Amino acid sequence: MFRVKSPQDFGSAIVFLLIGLAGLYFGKDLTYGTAGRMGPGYFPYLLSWLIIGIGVFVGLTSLAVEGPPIEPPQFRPAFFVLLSVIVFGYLMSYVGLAITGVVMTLIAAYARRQVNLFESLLLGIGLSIGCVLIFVYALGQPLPAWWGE
Amino acid sequence: MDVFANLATGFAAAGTLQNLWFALIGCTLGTLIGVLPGIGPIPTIAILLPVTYGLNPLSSLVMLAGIYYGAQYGGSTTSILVNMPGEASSIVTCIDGHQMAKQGRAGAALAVAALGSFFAGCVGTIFICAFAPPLAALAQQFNSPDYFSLMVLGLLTAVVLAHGSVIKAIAMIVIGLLFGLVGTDVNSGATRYTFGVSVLWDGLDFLPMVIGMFGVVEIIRNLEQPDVGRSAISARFRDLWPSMKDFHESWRAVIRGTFLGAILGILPGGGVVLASFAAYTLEKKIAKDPSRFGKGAIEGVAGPESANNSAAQTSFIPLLTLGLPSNAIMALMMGAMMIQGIQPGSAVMTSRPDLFWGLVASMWIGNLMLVIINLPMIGIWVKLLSLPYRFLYPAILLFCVIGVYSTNNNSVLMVFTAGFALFGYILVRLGCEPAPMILGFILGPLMEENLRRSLVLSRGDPMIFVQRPISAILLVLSACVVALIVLPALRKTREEAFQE
Repeated sequence: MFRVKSPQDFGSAIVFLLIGLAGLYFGKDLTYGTAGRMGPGYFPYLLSWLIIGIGVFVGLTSLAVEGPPIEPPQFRPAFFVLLSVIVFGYLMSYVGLAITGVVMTLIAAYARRQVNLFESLLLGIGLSIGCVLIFVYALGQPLPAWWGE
Repeated sequence: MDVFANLATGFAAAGTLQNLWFALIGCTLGTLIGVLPGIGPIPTIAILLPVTYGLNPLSSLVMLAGIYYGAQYGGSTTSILVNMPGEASSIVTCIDGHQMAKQGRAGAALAVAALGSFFAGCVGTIFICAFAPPLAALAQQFNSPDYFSLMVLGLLTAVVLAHGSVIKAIAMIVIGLLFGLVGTDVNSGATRYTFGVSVLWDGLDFLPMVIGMFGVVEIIRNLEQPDVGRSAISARFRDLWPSMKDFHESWRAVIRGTFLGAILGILPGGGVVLASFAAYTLEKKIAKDPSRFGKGAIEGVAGPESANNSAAQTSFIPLLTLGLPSNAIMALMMGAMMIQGIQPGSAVMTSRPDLFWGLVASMWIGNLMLVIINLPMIGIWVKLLSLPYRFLYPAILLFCVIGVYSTNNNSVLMVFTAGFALFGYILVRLGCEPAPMILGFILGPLMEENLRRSLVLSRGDPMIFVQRPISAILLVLSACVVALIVLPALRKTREEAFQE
């Protein structure tokens, strides 16, 4: 039986193979063309196979050479940080930067175990005011500050 | 001499009130993010890119460049006073710098770091003046096959000189190249990998990718670490002047570091991190008494700090002359130039001399500003260090998302950002360094275009890449680079170099 000696490399190999295969699959309708007249699919096809090749190589090596283990990921920070990013995009167009900034800070606060809602609320309000002043007024970025205005 | 006339043009362009103002903003911001751990120059430059849309090209480049070399100054402050590198390029400064601070010589360490950096910055500027014009002249001879081979060489060198697994870094570059192809193919008009999402027709915007993979991932990783109390060793302005003994011990190290850094900065993939590590190793090797290192040797601060600063300057050379970004930050600068409608490369120097020489002159001005920002105002930066991370990260996160959102007020971009952050997080867990991907991403369309043109010229015969002399030389060099990785003896040297 095979034994994975380098979990990090084995994992990388799977990621590479998936990306390479996705590149081939989603690019299958693109015209390949010839070397002299490259179609839109020529270079993507070349790159996808290159990634697959590297994936296979790294995968085989990971069975032969010892390597570092994968640190177990922590669910909490990643989940709340990513959630706050998506919520930001969703809320911005409805309620504007001022309110979104506060909500985002509150969600992001849950990425840590010790949540202090009052402190985060104050921080959020302060940051929101600062960001509206800096980005909307000082830098003139076309962002809705208040209710999609 | 032409150089003086050119520099005069540059100082005239950079010396306008507006450009001085943006240089000051860039340097101050650079120092700030250099001091603060948890946000580096890559996400900062990315966040500010949308702000530069409305600026003129020179002002925006001056500001973004200021962030980059300003971060090198700021990073040393954190390393010395807190023993925590604000930037990757200041990791080695911690070793001796913090020991010096513990012995009550924080002022001397900070002063030597800042003055050494200033000297290095000046020499770096001179290096650009000396090397850029001949390289640009050479680049004018380049044709499509040569450019393709140049990119191959640049990308391979970038991988070899960076730390971490070489084969995985190559994979990251190829993935970046593939991501760079998303959007409408300029030649055929066919849309590639757009999945019917209209935002993707113009190509994948690089802000969600850069900010997701560098800004957001960094926050998540920092939150996974347990909170550590940071206690800064205090330093006051009047303690800053180094003694004659310090001065005497460090000036040679400053000069050595400066030149080593300047050379390593020009190489693709060289950049600041490699320069500071190499300078530290060099100082330790040639010291009469290597055992002093790690116990507060001033050369261990002077060498690396000078090296990272001169490398920060000279790493602009390949971008400005060959149109080849040598690291992820230069890739962002290239993106910033393209947003302004400027194609980086040899043509910049002839078609926009004010832009080229203005940027060079602004670096010198910026370095002068940085000495002033960093030394007398050291107390303020130290105060900032006592800010706990729980106040800091929501602010960084908010800046990150505003930066992405302000590109075109589309919430789909935030989903991309989160997606790339997740992808980047997985990659980091798997030991893949995401920085090379940015290089590939920026170069993807260019590489395809040059490959296509070359093969049209030769009617599909790949031999064209070895028949043209310039291209052949570049490919031979690429082969040598590959040999560097494959040959076990040389590989060992590389691993040892990164062990330090």
